[in-house]
Order: sequence, then structure tokens, then C-alpha cells
Amino acid sequence: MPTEELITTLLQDKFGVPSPDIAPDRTFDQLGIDSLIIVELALVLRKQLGVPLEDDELYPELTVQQAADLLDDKVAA
Amino acid sequence: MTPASVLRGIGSHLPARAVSNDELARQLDTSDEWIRSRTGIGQRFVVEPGECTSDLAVHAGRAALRHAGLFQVDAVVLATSTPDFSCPATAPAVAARLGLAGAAAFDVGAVCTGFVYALAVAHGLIAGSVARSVLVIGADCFSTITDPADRTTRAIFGDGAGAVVLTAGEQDEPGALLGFELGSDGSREELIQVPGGGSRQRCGALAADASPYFAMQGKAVFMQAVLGMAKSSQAVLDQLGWRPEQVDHLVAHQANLRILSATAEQLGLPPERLVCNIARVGNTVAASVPLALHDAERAGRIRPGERVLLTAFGGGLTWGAAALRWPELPLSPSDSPA
Repeated sequence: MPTEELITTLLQDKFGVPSPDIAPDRTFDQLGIDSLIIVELALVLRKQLGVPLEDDELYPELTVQQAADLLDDKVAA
Repeated sequence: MTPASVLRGIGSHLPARAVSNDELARQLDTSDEWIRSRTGIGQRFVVEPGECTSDLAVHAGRAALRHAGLFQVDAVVLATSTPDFSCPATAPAVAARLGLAGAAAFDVGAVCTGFVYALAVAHGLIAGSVARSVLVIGADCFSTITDPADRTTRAIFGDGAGAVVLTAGEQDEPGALLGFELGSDGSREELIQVPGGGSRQRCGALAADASPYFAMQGKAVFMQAVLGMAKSSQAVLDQLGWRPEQVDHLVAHQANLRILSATAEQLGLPPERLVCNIARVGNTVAASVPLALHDAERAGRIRPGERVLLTAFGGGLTWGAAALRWPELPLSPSDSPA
């Protein structure tokens, strides 16, 4: 599954963000995600993708696509 | 044969005064909804003026000794970060008040990991034949070190104490502590800290006006706590050859309901295996694990023979895990407010 789709699915199914709101160019802040949810998301992504991810690498101003690109770079590394 | 350390009794104590989220919201810029959604906490208990850590520890220790049917132990190990004094340790006074004349007594400082560390230390005393019986207490009153104007720490922390009695026994006896994993990372000491009041300030390495209040970097701690508890728990599972789904009860440090859920998920444990009492008592630091364990025991939730995994994460940074199969014990009496 493309990483952007994985993030979208997690935001919908696990963190209750309404599906119509989510788009690749929307930031976490715009989606109403608080800083603790970003950390919870990072923990799940670390585990599912098997990559290291520090608590400050995902932050409210990142878009969904930017987060996906960051994770894809880590997977490729 | 090296003696095992076997759980024989458990007790706990909470101060009488409960502080609800609504009461906090009248004093600080916060709300019940904000506190519950971010932490899962609905209330916490706080000490009254004149009440301090030794008082809580004595009540919990007495309850555990009664449950174990013991009047004397060889050692008292007290996990706390809010000792009555910076010197001497609080454990000797607790031992004296419990009538445990002559017992070895000392404090263990590992903040929220304190109780798990104290269990490991007690196990070492028994395994090394230094003691045949140990009273292990986790007690803290963080209401005495949090800034009254800090809406975050005031909401999170509550006061309390929990205790267990361990005595020498056989490795295959139900109640024997079966495995331990402890760790630390002192390079992150600033994440969970009371900056002022210690020798670092008094020697001039810290400003004279360094804060005397407890402070925590919540976001950074969240991830470290989940990873630390999951990693140390997995290490204990690997030691014992237990699969995650075989764990009947995960008693994790009650830092935050979302940390508990994330830890269970990292381990691959169904969420219903989590023991949670954070809504009722908040984060009680070193008392957190024994308080949660005692609440589960009193509710009749833990059956003899069931696999119990304990884990915690705290300032230092420190982390740890331990495991046991629950012994057959008479149900302990209730000592604390509901």
C-alpha cells in the first residue's frame, strides 16, 4: 500500500478523522490532529513500516504527502 | 538452590481527598473534556496539609503485611521521588513506624519506574540470601512538588502508595517473580525533572533561581515511554518464552491512557488485557504499578496461575519490566476510598 494511503487509512480508522477532510496537501494541524495523536501515529508507522522515527520528525505543519515522502525516504535508506 | 522471591501479600493506600477535573477547572485554565481526552484521567487523590510520603507508605505497607500475615521482615525497600527529607531516606522511618525494628531499610529513586526497580532490588536481596522477606513499597505525593499554576502537571499527577511483601520460596511456586529487565538513559535527564533543590544547583552549576517544581516534556516522553515499556516487556517475554497473547494482564505504569493503549499495541496485546485505574487515581508515580495491581486483585480480576506482566517508564530516564504468575492469596481487604 502506498505510504500516503496508509497514513490516510490510519487517520480515518484509528484516529477518527472524517474521510472527506483528508487530502495529501492538508497539514496535520488542518486536520485537527493534536500533538499527542501525531506521536501515536508515528508509533504505529514505525512499527508497520519497520523504520526508526523520532517524536519530532512528524509535526503539525507537515502535510500528509510530506509525511509519506519522509517515510518513503526512510524505507528506501 | 537460589531462592526465588514470592509474592505473599499486597496493599495500597490513597489519601482521603479526591480532586475532580471540574474542581481543577475552577482553579486553572483547563476542562474535564481536555484532561480526559488527552490523559484519560477523571480525578486524582491529594494529601492534606501535614500528610506526606511516609504516611502513605506506612498505610500501604501495613496493609500488605496484614495480607501476608507477617509482623516482621528483613528489609524495607521504598521507591519514591518525594521523600520526606532529602536526607535521610524515608524507608527507615517507615520501617520504625511499622514496628519493623532492625530491618534493613532504604529508598530507591527511579521516579515512575521506581516500583519495578524496587522489586528487582528486593529480588536481589532474597536471591543473594541477604534477606528472606522484603516489604516493597512505591509511594509518592507529587502534589507537593507540582506548580499549583501548571495546568498540565496538576491534572496528571495524584498521590498514593502501594506495597507488596516478598519472601524466599521456590522458582516454580505461584507468585515467584520470574524475570526482570531494567534500563536507563541518563542523556535525557532533562525530560522529566525537578531542576532546583539538589547539589547541581547548590554547587553553582545551575542558576540559583532554577525551578523547584516538577516539569516534564510530554510529547517527547510519550514516545520514549511507549517504546521503553514495550521493549523491556518484550525482553522479559523473550526471557520466559511467553508469547504476547499468553499475557493475561499487563500492569503498566499509569502515565496516560493513550500511552497504555499504544504500549499494548506495540506489544501486540489485546487492549482488554490492560489493567487501567488511571481514570480514578491519575499518575501516582512510584505508587502507580502496585496501586493498579492491587485494584485488579481486589476486584477479583486476577486468577491464580495467570500470567502478569509489570512494566514502567520514568524519569532518569529509566524503564523496566517484571513478570510473575499470580499466587493463590486470600482477597485483600479494602483500605482505600472507592
